[in-house]
Amino acid sequence: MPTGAIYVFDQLPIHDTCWAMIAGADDRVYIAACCEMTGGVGVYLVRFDPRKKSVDCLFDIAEAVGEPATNGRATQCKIHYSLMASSDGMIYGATHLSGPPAGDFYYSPWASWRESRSFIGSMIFAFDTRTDQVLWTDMCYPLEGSRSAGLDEVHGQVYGVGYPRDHFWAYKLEARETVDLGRIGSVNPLVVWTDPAGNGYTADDDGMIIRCNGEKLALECLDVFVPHAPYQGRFHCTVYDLVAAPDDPWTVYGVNWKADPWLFRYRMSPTGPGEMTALGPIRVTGGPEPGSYWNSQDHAAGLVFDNQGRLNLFANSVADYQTGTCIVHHMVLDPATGEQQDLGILDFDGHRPRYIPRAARTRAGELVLADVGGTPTRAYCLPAVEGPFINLPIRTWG
Amino acid sequence: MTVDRTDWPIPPSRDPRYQGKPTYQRAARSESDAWVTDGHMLCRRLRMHDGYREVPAGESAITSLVPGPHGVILGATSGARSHLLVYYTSPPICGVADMGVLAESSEVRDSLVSWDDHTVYAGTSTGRLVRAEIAEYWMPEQVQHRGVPPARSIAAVAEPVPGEGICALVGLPDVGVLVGLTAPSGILFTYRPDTGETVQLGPVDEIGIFSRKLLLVGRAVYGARALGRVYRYDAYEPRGIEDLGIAIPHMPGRSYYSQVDSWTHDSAAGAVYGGDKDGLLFCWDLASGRMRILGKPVAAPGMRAIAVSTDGRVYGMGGDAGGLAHLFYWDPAAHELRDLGLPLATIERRWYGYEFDAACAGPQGEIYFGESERVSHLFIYLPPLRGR
Repeated sequence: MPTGAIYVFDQLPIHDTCWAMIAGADDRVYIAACCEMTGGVGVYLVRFDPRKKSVDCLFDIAEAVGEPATNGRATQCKIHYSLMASSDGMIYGATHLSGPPAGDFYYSPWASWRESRSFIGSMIFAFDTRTDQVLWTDMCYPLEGSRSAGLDEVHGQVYGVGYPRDHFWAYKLEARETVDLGRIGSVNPLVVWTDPAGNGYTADDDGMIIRCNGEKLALECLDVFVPHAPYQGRFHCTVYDLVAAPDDPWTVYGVNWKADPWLFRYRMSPTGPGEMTALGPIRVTGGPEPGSYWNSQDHAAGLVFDNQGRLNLFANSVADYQTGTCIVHHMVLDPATGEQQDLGILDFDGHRPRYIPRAARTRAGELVLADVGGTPTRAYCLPAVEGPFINLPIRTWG
Repeated sequence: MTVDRTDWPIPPSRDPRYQGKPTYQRAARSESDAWVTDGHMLCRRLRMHDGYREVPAGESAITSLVPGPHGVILGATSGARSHLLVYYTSPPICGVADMGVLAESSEVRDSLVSWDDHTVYAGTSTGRLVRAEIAEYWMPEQVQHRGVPPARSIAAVAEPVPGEGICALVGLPDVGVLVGLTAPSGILFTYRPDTGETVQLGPVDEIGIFSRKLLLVGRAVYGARALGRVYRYDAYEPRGIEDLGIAIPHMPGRSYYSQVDSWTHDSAAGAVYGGDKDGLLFCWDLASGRMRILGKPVAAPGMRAIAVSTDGRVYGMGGDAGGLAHLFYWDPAAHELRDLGLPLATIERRWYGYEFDAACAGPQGEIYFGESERVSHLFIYLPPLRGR
């Protein structure tokens, strides 16, 4: 296992999670440092510069969107899987809810709905990496958070899913207007992605692929489903992470959000439902029996292609069910053969990350990993592997 | 850039005020109180079983529910297409059947009438009165062997008020007449299935403000006009639209907004229970004519669905469009009004219920609630047994 580096965000001493991470067109990696457990603190945008090997806290997003964290409302404390990069150097983010108002230690959107302490809504911001300026902010979905979002560069729209009511929405960047397309489920999907034609996609509670026609802004239920283990039913088979194939813009690789996660390849089609291929379960060395997994922890995420064209992913596993101790297995998959390899438990000189939700790749091929589980929160960087340079497409979804 | 903030609050996990305090632990887990746990909430997908496709998303919002013959529950949806549903409440079926499409691009809202064993009427927001003739072999023991038959025919039989949609419909088979209300003008009309005759009885309110609801009590049909004033149309001895000189209760200063959001008749108690757009629950004693506020069970406006169980308890859904519904109940025997929480079903699937627009009581005390979203289900609430 190659040695990597840890970048602790020590300027943010009580920020506790990093869910969203995205590589910008400027070859720097943008990370949302969230503060979910403490009231009255906003989410920060942090940048990792691979050339300087340093991290920079850019700004307090809550302040930037005009919702300072001490205003008495549930805080703009988090960006979940809703950081998006554009090919022209913009970073868009849509905030999520989690943290309580200043002075409180608990917040529930179900218990505090439309009252003075309620979360006011998901705020979107546009950050220009060329000038380091926030160009504008707006509310993209009222009263609720954004669990995941994706950018449609063709039509100039952002697609997202609200939390907790699970409505699919589209936000028109030019018109600054939100269109609510209705409810899609009860399990919030964790990826909303796009195709080269600008259509939006996600999967519902049963793993059925839902496409948002980017032209008509209408949802279509496609008769294609995210695969899962044969002994399982469809419940909770939405998508946890998904990455574009390096060689085909219409193809994506993803992993479902179920206990015993399964990988899949999905070739989208501009006219039909597309073609779904099951790539099977993720099997870590020494892992538990299939079917005995603890769903809230056995997530696989951080999907990213490396210089050898291998799909890297991070299997977040429970090492000890009695203590809840978690470890992360670094896995690689050869997309051509489907062969998996467990590179071992992720370990940085004795520090073992507990959970890797997202990963990004620099142009040189380093893998940058977001961290959940440590306070202050942090990012990791794994060195590039030897191999030919692969030009990855800009990831436009969180 | 540097972060200039230094006054970071102490995370609760390190705050000595909370450490080792059971109250803190309980408070931090208080979300678990949010769901309905008194009684049991189920939801049914809108299909007979998994061999059938569900009513499609965007067409499944249940906006009418009525008891049908032989213990079944009839429903109608709104959306890109309105479907006629039947829920077989007993084994061996216990499933929802889609009997066919009542109308395109339409709402069927509080406008479904079970006329006889084989005939259903629906009033659509496009203004048409639709008759569905149910197939001969649709009863549970037949369905078990033959599968679910689609309706034999579904056809528009009248357009009672051209240019107006139908927003409420009730039926009086023993009098041989349907009574409906239109929107946006609020014109009350009758339709006689035997002759096909339609009669417009006129607008229910002189300034065009009215509740888009009708309630059948015996042979009289009730509605509410501006300022929440109740009117009656006696279908048996027609005397036109009569103002009863009473009004539903309202919040101070809000009579202008006073409208019925849902109401239901408890024949055993001789009372009408209803909720207004502000979420006030009221009781109208039919014998004395007394109208009184029972309370505001949910901290939200609106009360879009209400029904009375066989034991006299009143159940309803508080909350308005775009909100989070809360189930509540009123127990007239105990004089108890309670918010029971948010509906969360785990059978037949795990599903949060946020919006409901229809309710009716089942034969065994269960209450059916029609979810009204892009993807919707038939919710079934099983109230708890009363203790000794």
